[in-house]
Parts: sequence; C-alpha cells; structure tokens
Amino acid sequence: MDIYESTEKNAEKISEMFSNSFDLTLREFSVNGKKAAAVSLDGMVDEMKVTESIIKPLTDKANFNIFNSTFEQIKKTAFKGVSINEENDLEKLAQSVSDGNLILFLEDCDSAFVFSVQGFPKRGIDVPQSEQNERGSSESFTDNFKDNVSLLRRRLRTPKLIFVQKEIGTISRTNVLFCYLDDRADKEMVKKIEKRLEKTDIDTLLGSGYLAPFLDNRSTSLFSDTGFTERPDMLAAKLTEGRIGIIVDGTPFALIVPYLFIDYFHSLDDYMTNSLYATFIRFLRIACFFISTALPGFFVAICVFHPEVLPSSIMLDIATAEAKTPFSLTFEAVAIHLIYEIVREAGLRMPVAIGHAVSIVGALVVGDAAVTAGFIAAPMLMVVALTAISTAVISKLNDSVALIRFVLTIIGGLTGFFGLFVCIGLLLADICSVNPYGVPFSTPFSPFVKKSWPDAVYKRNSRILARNRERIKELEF
Amino acid sequence: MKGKGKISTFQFFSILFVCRMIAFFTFIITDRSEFSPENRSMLFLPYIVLGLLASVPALIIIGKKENGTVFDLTNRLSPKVTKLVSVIFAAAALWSAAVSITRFDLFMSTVMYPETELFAFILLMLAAAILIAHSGLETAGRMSVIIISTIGVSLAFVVITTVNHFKYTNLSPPLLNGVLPLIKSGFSSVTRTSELAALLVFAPKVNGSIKKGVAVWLLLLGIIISALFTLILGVTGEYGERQMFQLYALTVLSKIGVIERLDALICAIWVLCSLTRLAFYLYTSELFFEGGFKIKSRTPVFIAFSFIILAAYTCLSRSVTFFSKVLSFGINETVFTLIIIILPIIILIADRIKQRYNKSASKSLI
Repeated sequence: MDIYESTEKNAEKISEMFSNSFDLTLREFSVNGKKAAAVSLDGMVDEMKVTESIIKPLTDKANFNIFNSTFEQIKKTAFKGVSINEENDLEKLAQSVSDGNLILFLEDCDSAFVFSVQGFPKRGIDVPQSEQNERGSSESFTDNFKDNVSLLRRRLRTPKLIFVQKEIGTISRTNVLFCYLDDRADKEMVKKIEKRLEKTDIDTLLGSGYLAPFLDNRSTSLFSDTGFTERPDMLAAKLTEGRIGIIVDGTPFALIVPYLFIDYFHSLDDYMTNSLYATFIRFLRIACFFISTALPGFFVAICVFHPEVLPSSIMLDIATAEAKTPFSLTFEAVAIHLIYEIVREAGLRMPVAIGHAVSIVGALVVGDAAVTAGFIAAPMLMVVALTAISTAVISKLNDSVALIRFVLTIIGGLTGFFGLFVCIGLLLADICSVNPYGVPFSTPFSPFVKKSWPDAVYKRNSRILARNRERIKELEF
Repeated sequence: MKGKGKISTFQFFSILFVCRMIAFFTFIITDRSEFSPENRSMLFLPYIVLGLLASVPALIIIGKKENGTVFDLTNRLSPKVTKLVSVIFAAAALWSAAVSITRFDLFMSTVMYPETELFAFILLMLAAAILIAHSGLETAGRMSVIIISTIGVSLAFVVITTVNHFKYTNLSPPLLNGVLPLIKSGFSSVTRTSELAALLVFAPKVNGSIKKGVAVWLLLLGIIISALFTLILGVTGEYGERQMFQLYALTVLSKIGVIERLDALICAIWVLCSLTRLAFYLYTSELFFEGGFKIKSRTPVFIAFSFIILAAYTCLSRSVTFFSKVLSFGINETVFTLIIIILPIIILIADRIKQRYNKSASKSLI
C-alpha cells in the first residue's frame, strides 16, 4: 500500500495498523516549513539519538534553504551515527517501526524516511551458565545477535567467516544468522542447511531450541544431532572443524550442525589441560553416560534376576537393607528417580532465592528421612545418587539420559539382563541410524575413522593435533 | 555423499561375523560323531577350504556385473524363475532366522531362566529386530562393528580368566580317526554357514572387494571357532562334553576377584548378537523377496515375515528334544546346501546354456 501525501493520514494509517498501541509515539513538527510526522515505538528506539541526531538537525532552520526541495535536502543531511533509507510502502514502513526504526513522513512527499535508531534494553555479556570452563574464556553469548556476531568475529578474525542472515517466523520475524568458515565448511552441507532454514514453517521463533527440531535429521531419535552452546569459543572451535553455526536473535544459545554423538562428551577444557588428563576425563565422561543411563537398570536386574553376579557378602547386605522396605526394588528405583527429577525440575524453575531450600528439603526428605522411615533402602539411594552425579557430568544429554534411564530401570526389573540388552541394542541402533547431513552420528566409533580418534575420542598432544586437524566433511560417508 | 545406502566391506562382514558367532555360541551338538572332540582343534582347515569352495558359485554370480545379484541371471532366464528363486531364498532366510531364535530361546530357557516361558521376550526381540531392519543395512553394519568389540572384550575376559584351567590331557590327538571325519565336520560346519547365501543379494550394497572379505571372514571364523573349541575342550574336558551349550559351560568358570559369576552378563551380550542376526535375516529375506516381487513398502513385509518366524519358532521351540529331532533330519544341511551350492550352480549352468542358445540363434539369423 503506497503512502499518502498527507502526513496526518499516514500517521493515522500507521496508528490503525498498530491498533493505537500505547507505545506508538507520534511526533509532529515542521521541517523547512513543511509538516512532518515522526513515528516510532517507545522503548525500541534510542531516544537520545532521536532527539540529538534526527529531530535537532531537522528542526534547525540553518540546515535548510526554503527555495530547494526539503526532501532532497534531508537526503543530503548528515545525521550523526544514523543510517537513512527511503520507503513508500506503508506496510513495510509499519514493519520498520516494529524493527525499532523511526519513520519520518513529510507533507506532499511520495516517500518516507526510515532512520535506523534501534535502541532497546539488552543484557550484557555474562559468564556462561550451563557450560562452565576451568581455563577458557568467561564470555558467553548474549540475547542480542549482533553482539554474538562480534563475539565470534573477535575469535575468528578472518574474512572467510561468513554470516548469512535469514528471517524466520511469520509473526516473530526473528533474525537468524547462519555462519561458517568458507574454506572449511562443505558447500553442499551449507546449501542443505540453508534450505532447511528457508523451509522452516513456524510463526513464532522465540529461541534457538524452537529451531533445533527443524534441523534434526530424525525426529524419532532420542538424541539430537543439533548441538547447543553458549560459548563463543566453543562455536569458533566447531566452525574451524567445518561445522555450521546458527545464531538466533533473542537467545544466548547458538546451534551447531552437524553434531555427533561423541561431541556430547567434549569440553573446551580438554584442549587447555594435559592431553593425558584430558583423555582420562573424556573416558570418564563416556563412563558417566553408561552409569547415568544403565546403572539403576543393571542394579535392579542383578538384584532381582542375577544375584550370582555380585559377591555374596555384598548381595546379603543389599538383601538385608531391602528386606526392611515395603516396596519392590523396581518400584523403589523408579520412584526415587521420579523424586529426583521433581527436585531437579523444581531447582530449575524455582526463583534462585528459594532454590537452595528446595535442594535441602529434597536431599533431607529423599536422602535421610525416607531411609530412616524405611521407605527406601540405602543401597538404592546410593545408586540413584551416583546416577544423578554422573548425569551432571554430561548435562547436555540430560533429557535423553533421563528417559533412557526410566525405560532401562523398568525393563531391567521386569526381564533382567536380557530385556535390558534388547533395549541397549535398540539404543545402539538409534545412535547408529542417524546421518546428520551425511555424517554418521556414531562416527568415529562406527564407521571406524582412525584419523578422528586422536581428537574426538582420546586427546592427543595439541602440537600433533594442530597439524592434523580433522574436518567434518572428511567424515561424510 | 561417497556412497549413500551402501556399507563398507568391513561393516558387511562384521554383520556376518556377528551372525555366525551367535550361531556358534548357542550351538547344540546333536550328533557327537559329526563333531568329535579330536576334530575340533583342526576344524579351521577344512572349514576355510570348503567354505571358500562353497562360496565360489556365489562369487561367480556376483562377479557377472550388472547389479551384481542372483536376480540378474534369473531375470535373463525367465520372470517365473526369478519369482521361484526369490521365494526359495526368502524362505531359507526365514528358516534360518526361526532356527536361530529357537536356539536362543532354548539356550535361555535351559540354562539361564530354566522352565520360564520366554514368548513375550521373543516378541520383544522380534519387534526390536523389525525396528533395526527398518533402519536399514547401515544401522546393522555400524551396530555390528560395536557389537564385535563388545564380544571381543567378553571373549577375551573368558579366555584370560579360564586359560589357567587348561589341561592338555583333556585334548584328544588330532586326526585320531583319520582325515575323513575331519572333512565331514568341516562340511557340516560350512553347510551351517547360511550367511554365504547373503552374498547373492548384498553385493550392490557393499563398497569394496567381497572376494577378499569372504576369505578374511572365513579365515577369522575358522581360527576363532577352532580356538574356542580347543579352549572349551582343554578347560572343561569331559564335563564340557556332557553340556548342551559348551561355550556357556566355559563362561560359567570365568571369574575375576570377588566377582565369581559373570556368565549372565556375558550371555546377555549375546542378546545383541541374536538381535543383529534376527534383524539381518529379516532384511535379507525381504531383499530376496523384493528381487522377485514388487514391494511398495518394506515395513509390512518385515512385519509379515516376523509373524512367519514367530509361527516357526512356536513350532520348533516346544522342547530341546523336539528341536534336536527336527534338526537331526538334516533339514538345515539340506536347505543350506541347496541355497549356497546347488541352486547357484543350477542358475549358473542354466544361464550359460541360455546364453549359448541365444548366441547360436543370433548366428543362425545372420
């Protein structure tokens, strides 16, 4: 819809489009003797910039000559630190206002000016909350995507770092950037991801988590092949491996694609510590995955079906402890895990101030009172505690691990080792069946890629690794 | 994508290896004269030689490049032959799956969960196998590589923890009764290697040299099986000879420190092998069936075939005695001799005759 020549009518139309929203600000004044109207959204523009860089020069008669066209003179005026565009479509102008721009209508003109004066409140750069690091950077991504771009640019100072901007969400129209290193990323993979982003049919994109299912290659899989990170250094490291990063405006978590199963066990600290220690820690994390998923299931299966596996002295202790509780072992295991999940969820959702209280109550009720009251046995509590601590080591896998653990515990209690191993077989099949963007999710274990092992599975000396840096496109099958 | 939908030779033979190993783990020696103790340590020799000979017809067929399957040749003969061959091979694969699952059921209900009805568990396994088969050959291939390492670790554990009980006096002198019984044992083992038939249909799905793969696979199988047989015999002696599942008898003896019984855990790992074998045979039977008949979707075929396997299993698993009796008629040997040796040779000869006939017909036309 083209704009009108009357500023009042234009302003009226824009107000209608915003349903006379309370935050729509209309400033009427004259420029070089002509009526003008500036429209913006309160809180979305930098008021100081609007006053000092736009209104002040426009209302200063010294800047204009009444014999020349006002429109042309505005075009030539230098507005300090503000970029200026022209637009004659009212709907697009309304959209610009939503984006945090200021639009200026001028009487008898068939175009309006769009001033880029965005200035909304934003969070500063903080310490990463979910990816603690001992020796790495203390900067995390922020909610503002432009800040995130600069955080990344500071780490990869090369013109090969490409950012492509997309707009996703029919209502939210969220800015989404996908970035890659031009000389490292596989062009075919870049195209595929770009296509996926273009095809994303969603009305509101409020966080990167909304986007992940659209990028995942198998919706039924328990594991996501799209990774998250809130660390710019981690994303930079992944980009150098030829992966693709996706930054969503309004969220401090960037996405990494493709993300392999082994990536869940990596930390940036691995590259900043002694390689032998890093290898030990990596294997410990992998062991923690097995403990957190299968330990309760195995414990229940052993106690119920295969007591001969444990030495008789230990088995007798367990049996004595269990004899005092009213519930079956399987029920006990499932119930304690449910309580653990409730406490965990409460800890996450509760205000920080009372979060500690919840933890203390949870620990006391579950840990002490329940054992003393004879509802649960101490060995089972120990197993659950170990499982919970192990889950914290691989926190990125928490969602999948929680589900798997419940299934394995129930199956272990019902069928023993054999049912348990059928489920493990299915889990293995799930891990082996996904090929995110042509790279097998189970690489480098199977297919076995020897070249990847020194970096992906164990950690070789950084001096050697620097020479043989592996790229994701080399893992395509 | 370097080869989408294809797997490497290593992955393919890993599947076959896992399939063969579980058959060995749950193997019931029904005829003692067939696998007499003095022949077991030398079994690898006839097994490798006869195995290579038995694989020749299949290797010739897949070497005649078009798609590299048996159906290239049968299609040239007649569509009816293709359909007949596809049904025979699919049925043989289903039979093999049914025998395998029955063996596993008998193993579990005899030594692990005595007198327990395992029907529900078998149903669970079949459902899991359908899911794996549905995921495709790549999934099975990748799984097998991981499973092999698991089996490797568990077998290494068994070997390390039992080898100190090894007594040379338990062994019988090799070739005590001459070469013929050894060759007979080798032949019996080869006819049980039904996986060789899979070569006839899997060649287009495998990247790399199948001929080399077959040779290495047979060599490793022969050596590992012979070594394990020798170890079982040397460690368990007469006691092991009286056991129905001999490798299990060995695992019972393995212990480490305070943990004295890990047989349940080791045998549970065999569930993974059994699952892979079941999924692979489901996939193979479907692939053979697809060669002769047009199929829109694989999943309904997998489900239908699973019901056939379940029906056969229900009949076969009534008791160990019944199962042994069925096998004592030589059904297994007959079926596998037919599909590995006789049928491929017949197809090759028929194709040769047809080609000659076509050549002479075209010459007479000129």
